[in-house]
Amino acid sequence: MVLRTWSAAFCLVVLTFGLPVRAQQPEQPVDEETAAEGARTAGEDSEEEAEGPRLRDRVKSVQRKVFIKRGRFEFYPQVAFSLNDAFFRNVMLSGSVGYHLSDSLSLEASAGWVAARTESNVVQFLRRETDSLLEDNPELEYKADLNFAWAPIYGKLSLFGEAILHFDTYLTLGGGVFGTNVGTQPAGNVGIGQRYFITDWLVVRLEFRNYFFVEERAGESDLQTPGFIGLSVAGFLPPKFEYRFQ
Amino acid sequence: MKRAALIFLPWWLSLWGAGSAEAQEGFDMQQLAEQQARQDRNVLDDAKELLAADNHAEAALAAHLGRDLKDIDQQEESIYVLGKALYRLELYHSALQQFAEILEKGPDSRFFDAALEWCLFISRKLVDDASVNEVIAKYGSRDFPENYRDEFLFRLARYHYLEALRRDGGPAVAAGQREEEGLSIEGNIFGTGGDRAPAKVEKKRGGGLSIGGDLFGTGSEEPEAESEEGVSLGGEGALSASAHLVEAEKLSLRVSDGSRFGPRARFLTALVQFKNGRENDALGSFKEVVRTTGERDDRGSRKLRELAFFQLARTHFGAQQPSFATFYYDRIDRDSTEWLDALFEDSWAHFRLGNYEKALGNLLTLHSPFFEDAYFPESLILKAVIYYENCRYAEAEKILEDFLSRYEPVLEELGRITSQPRSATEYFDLLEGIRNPDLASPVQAEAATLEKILGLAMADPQLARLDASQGEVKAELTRLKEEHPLLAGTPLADILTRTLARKRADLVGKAGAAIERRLVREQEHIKELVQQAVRIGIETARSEQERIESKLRRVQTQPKSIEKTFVRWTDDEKIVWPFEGEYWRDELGTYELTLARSCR
Repeated sequence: MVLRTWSAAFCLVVLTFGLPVRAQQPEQPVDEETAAEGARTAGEDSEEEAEGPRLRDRVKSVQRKVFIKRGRFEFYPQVAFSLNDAFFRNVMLSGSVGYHLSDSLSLEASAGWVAARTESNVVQFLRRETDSLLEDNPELEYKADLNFAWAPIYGKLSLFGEAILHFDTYLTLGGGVFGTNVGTQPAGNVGIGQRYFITDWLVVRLEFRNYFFVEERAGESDLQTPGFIGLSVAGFLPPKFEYRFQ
Repeated sequence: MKRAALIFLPWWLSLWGAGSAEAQEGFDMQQLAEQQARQDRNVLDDAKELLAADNHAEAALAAHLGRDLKDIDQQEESIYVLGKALYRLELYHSALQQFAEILEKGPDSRFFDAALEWCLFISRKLVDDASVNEVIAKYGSRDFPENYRDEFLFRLARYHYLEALRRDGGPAVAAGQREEEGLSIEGNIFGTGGDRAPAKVEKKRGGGLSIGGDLFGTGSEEPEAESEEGVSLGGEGALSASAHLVEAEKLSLRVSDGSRFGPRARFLTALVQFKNGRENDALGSFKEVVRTTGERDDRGSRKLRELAFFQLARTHFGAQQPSFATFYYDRIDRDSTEWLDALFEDSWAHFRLGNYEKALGNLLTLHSPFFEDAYFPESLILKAVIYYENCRYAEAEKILEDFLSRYEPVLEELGRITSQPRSATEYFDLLEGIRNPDLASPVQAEAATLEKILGLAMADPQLARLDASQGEVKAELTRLKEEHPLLAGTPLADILTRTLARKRADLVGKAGAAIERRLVREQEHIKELVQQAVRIGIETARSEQERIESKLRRVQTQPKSIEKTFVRWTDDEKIVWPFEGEYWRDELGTYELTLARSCR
């Protein structure tokens, strides 16, 4: 579910832009035959064929990251929408602060509350058709957590050939508390998201986060797994960064 | 006694009569003179009133009448008013002519300082301000108005620097001499005219780089009769090139650091220091320019900062310090017009460092479809040399073949063009033919590369400024005829038309001469590259033969060929993207090509 949701979100982003995407890959298998066409020069293999296996010249682009996160704080308010609740739609507002230990690792503290809740069509249908009362509905109220994030993938999008938008993809794992209408429970969460780097200090984040907590309701324990997709505009401090390596 | 009195009476009377007639005549003359003065004053007052009322054309006509006034002071004032009126009519070249006339009269003139300031204003309106600088240098005093002192000092310094270059080299040998000397620069730190200057790097000459051209690009380097008349500032007319340099440095150092012209003056100081062989001083001055300009400053300052980085890179390269050179080449912004030049020169620096991956990567960018129109013939030679150095003889030969097939026809065509006797105007027509395909070009430019060269000639800052300047004069002539009907057919219009036509002819001649020089220079350059290509080809064939012989004798070839590792990682601040034949615009300039096999 998480992955599908994530995939859908990712595809949506990519399809929205309808653009070429390139992401930094982990080690790729060396395909000698399909190696860089641009690097090939006619006749290069004559000597190589005589001397050994066919090797091709390879080309890489060594590019500076357009955005350095290391040693900077990230502040981001977020609006998130619940995805996997069949009966209610929750809108959660949250505020977070993160510190980037390195360019790929960060610690984040976050707190939020459900600011709005609407019933889905399912509830209305049940009320109308079955005359159910639907008492003691589970209601999500607030959450607070501390998370660890790892951003192993760095990529970029070509915007209609006019501009390049860089992004990273991160995984997050953390723990904290989640409050519902029956009380506060310890909760864990996992998530995946992307940051789109707009300026030296401005970032747009899109993420999916799934929470896990056990809730006891009417004498029965049940594992709750509310999932949220969130959008935020994040600001970095200090607003400027400097490259350490020249 | 009475009788005597009667006898003399007629004589007395006649005398008295005569005296009174003379007195009467004198009286009339005085009246006439006063009347004339009144009339003269009226002419001048009319001109001034018309000017104040923004009737500029009428003011110009009235002031022109005043040029014939007997009173020197009034005459000068008329010329001054005429200059102002012409300026308001946006006839800047014509206005400059008037103010120059006032300046010619010397600092005693009541309008000297004001005319000097007007010259400054005109220079800000013209594409090529060389003529204004020349006027300032020729007639200016040392006591410039406080408000504009720095600008005047800078202009004078620049004038002396260019004079030094002109006297030092002269048109025919300028390019060659520069190459031997190590460094010269093209560009325009005044931000006027074209900026793009194709750099020509002769890395093997005199241990330095030479980039042909003229940093300030303020006009022709041809000797001009007017210039030879000299500068009135202390009689520098007979100054040698070195004396001009001394003067340039002195003047540039007088420009206050805090002024708008401070960084530019420091840049000029650095150029003079370099020219005088004081490379360390020059480096210090270039760094000072970098310190005093910021990345976020106005466009002119940023451009200056970039040029300073460029010169730092070139100076270090010339001083056999390629690692410093690459550091500074990397500072040239990708959006800069100088970026491709920097990339190309950076390739040489990396080659010298033995960093073949980066050198080849830069060349991959230069040869990418994005820069199909870029003209860097030497880049193919460099590429061949790198392959040769890495014992990749087959590829080296292919590259050389490619080079020769591309540029030998160009060399022939250039030879054909330059060998025919042509006037400077005909050379200019050549340029016009390229610019306007509807015009019948006197040259059948068959090879696309030839067109590229001619196109490059147009991109030459010096030529661009001359061309723009002649265009400006042409436009002024048109404006004079079409936009100011009041002036049409008047003696003033006739005089201005004749003067402007002469000026334009002069500029066209200079532009034509610049094109000819450019083509000859290019011909020599390609000829030299072809010779280099042939020499490298011979070396390559010899090395390949040795290699084959070693194999036949079953002896290990020296140096031994090895497989190179393709490194996919880098530091935390960078990203490695694999190149799979698709160029990404933002990756241009960041490529590194790993030769799978090499002997280095």
